[in-house]
Amino acid sequence: MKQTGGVYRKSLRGEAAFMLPMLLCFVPVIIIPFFYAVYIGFMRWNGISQAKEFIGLLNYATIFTSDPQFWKSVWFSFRQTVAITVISNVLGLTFALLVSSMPKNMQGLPRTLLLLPNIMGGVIMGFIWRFIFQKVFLSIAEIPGLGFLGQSWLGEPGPAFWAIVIVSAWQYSGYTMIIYIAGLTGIDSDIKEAARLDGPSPLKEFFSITLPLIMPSVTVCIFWVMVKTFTMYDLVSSLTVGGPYGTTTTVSMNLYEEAFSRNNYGLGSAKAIVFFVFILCISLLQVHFTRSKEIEA
Amino acid sequence: MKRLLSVALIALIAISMVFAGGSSESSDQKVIRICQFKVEIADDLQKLAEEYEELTGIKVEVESTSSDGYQTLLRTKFAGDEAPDIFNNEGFSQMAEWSEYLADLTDEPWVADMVPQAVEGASIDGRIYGLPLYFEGYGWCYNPKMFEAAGITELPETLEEFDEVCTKLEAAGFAPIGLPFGASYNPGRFMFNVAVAHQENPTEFIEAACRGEIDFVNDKIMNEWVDMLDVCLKHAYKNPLDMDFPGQISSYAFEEVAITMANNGGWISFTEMNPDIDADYMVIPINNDAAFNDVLYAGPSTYWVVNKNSPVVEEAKDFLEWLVTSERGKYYLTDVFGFVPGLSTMSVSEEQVGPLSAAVSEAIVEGKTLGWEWPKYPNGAADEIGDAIIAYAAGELDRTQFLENVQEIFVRLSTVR
Repeated sequence: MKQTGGVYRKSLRGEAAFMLPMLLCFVPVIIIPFFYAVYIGFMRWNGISQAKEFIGLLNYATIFTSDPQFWKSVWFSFRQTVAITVISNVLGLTFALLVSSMPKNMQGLPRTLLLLPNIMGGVIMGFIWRFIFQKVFLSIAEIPGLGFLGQSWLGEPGPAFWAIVIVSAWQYSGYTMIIYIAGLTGIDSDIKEAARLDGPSPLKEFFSITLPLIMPSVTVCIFWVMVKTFTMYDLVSSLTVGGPYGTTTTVSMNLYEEAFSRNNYGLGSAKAIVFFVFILCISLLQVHFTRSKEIEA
Repeated sequence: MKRLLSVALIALIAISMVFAGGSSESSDQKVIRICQFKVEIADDLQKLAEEYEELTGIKVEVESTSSDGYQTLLRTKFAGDEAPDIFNNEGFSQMAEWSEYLADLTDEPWVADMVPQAVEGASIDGRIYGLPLYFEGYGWCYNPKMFEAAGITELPETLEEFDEVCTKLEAAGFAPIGLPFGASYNPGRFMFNVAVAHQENPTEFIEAACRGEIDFVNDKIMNEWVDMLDVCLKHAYKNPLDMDFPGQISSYAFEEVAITMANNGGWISFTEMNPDIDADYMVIPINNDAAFNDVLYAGPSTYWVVNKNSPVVEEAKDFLEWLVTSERGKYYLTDVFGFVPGLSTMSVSEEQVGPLSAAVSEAIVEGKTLGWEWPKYPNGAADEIGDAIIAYAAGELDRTQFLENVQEIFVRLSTVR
C-alpha cells in the first residue's frame, strides 16, 4: 500500500514535469486569450482606444437581433462542414481500404501522395487552386467532353461553394485515410477469419464487421474534419476571398472582419464566443452519437 | 537524470520567454522609428533615412510592411509598448479613431501649404494631425494606342459617347472594359465613390444616408450611376465576376482590354508587366452633361502622423518638416518615390511620375477633382456595397433592390454597435 502510493506520487510529479512546458505554451496562447475574449465580449471597444465601455449583453443582443451577415456565414459554414465532412471521410475510408489491400511494400507511394496535400498550408493551396480553377481548367475545357470545367468556378455562388469543398476534401482525405488505415490494421484478423466462415458478401463483411470495429477512427475523423472546416479561414480567404458577393464568407472571416476592419472588437469577441458554444454543442453531440456506435470485439 | 532534463528544459523556456520581449537598448542616440505600409519605397526610404542621419545625427529606423494587415500590426505594436513614432493613417474616421495617440501638427510650417483637398481628412475640431504624404486619383484608365487603332479621335465626355466608344472598340476587335468584380474592394470603393462624390455635399449626403434620410431609389445621381454601371456591364470583358485584382492589372497591361478603373499607383504594376504599355486618364461620365462629368477623383491616400507619447515628438516633427521643405526631401518624394504631392510647394511632371500620376497631379492643381468619400462611410460599408454591386452585376438584384440594399447598408452599419 505504502509502495503503491509512492509510485503514484512519483509518476504524478513526473507527469507534471512533462506537462509543464506544454502548459506554459497552452495557457498564454489559448486559455488567457479565451477568457480575455469573454471579457472583451461585454465591452464596446474599437481595438485602438485605451478606454473600453462596459455594455453588458448588448453585443450578444446585436448578434441575435440585427446581424444577418453573421447568420448567413454560420449557415454557409454549416453547409460547408456537412459537405466536406461527408466527402472527405468517405474518400479517406475508400483510400484506406484500397491502400491497405495492396501488398505491404507497395503502400508507401500512394500513402505519401495522398497525404501530401495535407502538409501544404491553406493559403498557398488557395492561391494554387485559384490558378487551377481560373486558368488550368479553362485550358482543359477545350478538350471535347470536358467543357463543363470551363465554367466560371469562382464567379458564381454554387460553383464557388463546391470549389471550396473540392479543395478541402482533397486536402483532408489524406489525413483521414491515415487514421482509417491505423484503425483497419488494428482489427484482429481472427474476427475476420471467423466471420468469413459464414461466407458473407464483401459488402456485408464491410458493414457488419469492419465498419463497427473501426468506429473509434470514425469518431476521431469526423470530429477532426468538422472542427477544421467550421473554423476555416486561410483557404477561403485566398481562394474566394468570401466572394462572389459575400456568399462564401465563413464565420471566422466574418468575425475577423467585425473586429479588424469594422473595428468592433467587442462584437467580434462576442461572436467568437457564440461560435465557440455552437461548435462545442455540435461536437459533443457528434462524439456522443458516434461513440454510442462503437463496439468492442 | 530525467528530472534534471525536464527542469533544465523548463528553465530554458522560461528564460527565452523573458528575453524574447526585451531588446537591447544601449546607446543614447536619438532614434525615430517609422512604421509604414508602402513596401515599394522601402529601400529608397532607407537611403533617405541614412542621409538624414548623416545630416543631423538622428537615426531613423524604417519598418515597411504591406498594407493589408497594417492596422492589425499597428494595434499589436501599441498594445505591446512598441509604438512607432511616425506611422500611416488614412484620415477621416481613422484619424478620429487614433486621435488620442496623435500629436497636434497645426503649428508646423508646412500646414499652410497643404492643398485644400488634403485638409478635411487630417482635421479634428479644426486642428491638423497629419502630413498628407501623397495623393492618389483615378478615372477611366485607357490605352491611347488601342483607341487610335479603333479610330477613336475624341475622348468621351458623356455617357452616350462612352457607350459609342466602347462599341467602336468592339467593332475593331478589342474588348472594351476590364471590370474587376472578382472582389468587392474596387467596386465598393472606386466605382461607387463616383455616385457619392458627385452629390451636392458628399459629407452631408453620407451622414443623411446613415440616418436613413436619403431615398436612394429615387435619387437622380444614384440612378444615373446605375445607368453607367449598365453600360459598363454591357461592354465588360469576359465574366467580370471572375476578374480579381491581379487579373485586372494583367489584362490591361497585356492589352486584352482597352479601359479599366485603376488608380495612378497601377502605372508601376502595368509597366512592370509590359514596359511598352501606354495609359492615360479620361473622365467617368454617368450622364450626358459634359461639364458635370469633367473631373477625376483624388484623395489624400495616406497621412503620416506622429505618436504624441513618443520620446522624440519634436525630432519626429523636425524630420517631417525636413522631408517636405528641404531640396533633398522633396527630391525623394517626387523623383524617387514618384508621389503626387499633397503640398502646393511641390509639383511633378510626367517624366518624374508617369502619365497617370501626372494627370492626377494636374487635375488637383486645376481644381478639377472630386474626393475619395469612402473613408467617411461607416466601417465595413464599402465592402458590403461592393458585394451589392457584384450581386447586381450577377443579376441577383435588380436596380430597385440594389439601391434599397445600399440604403440599408448605410443605416445598419452606422447604428452604434
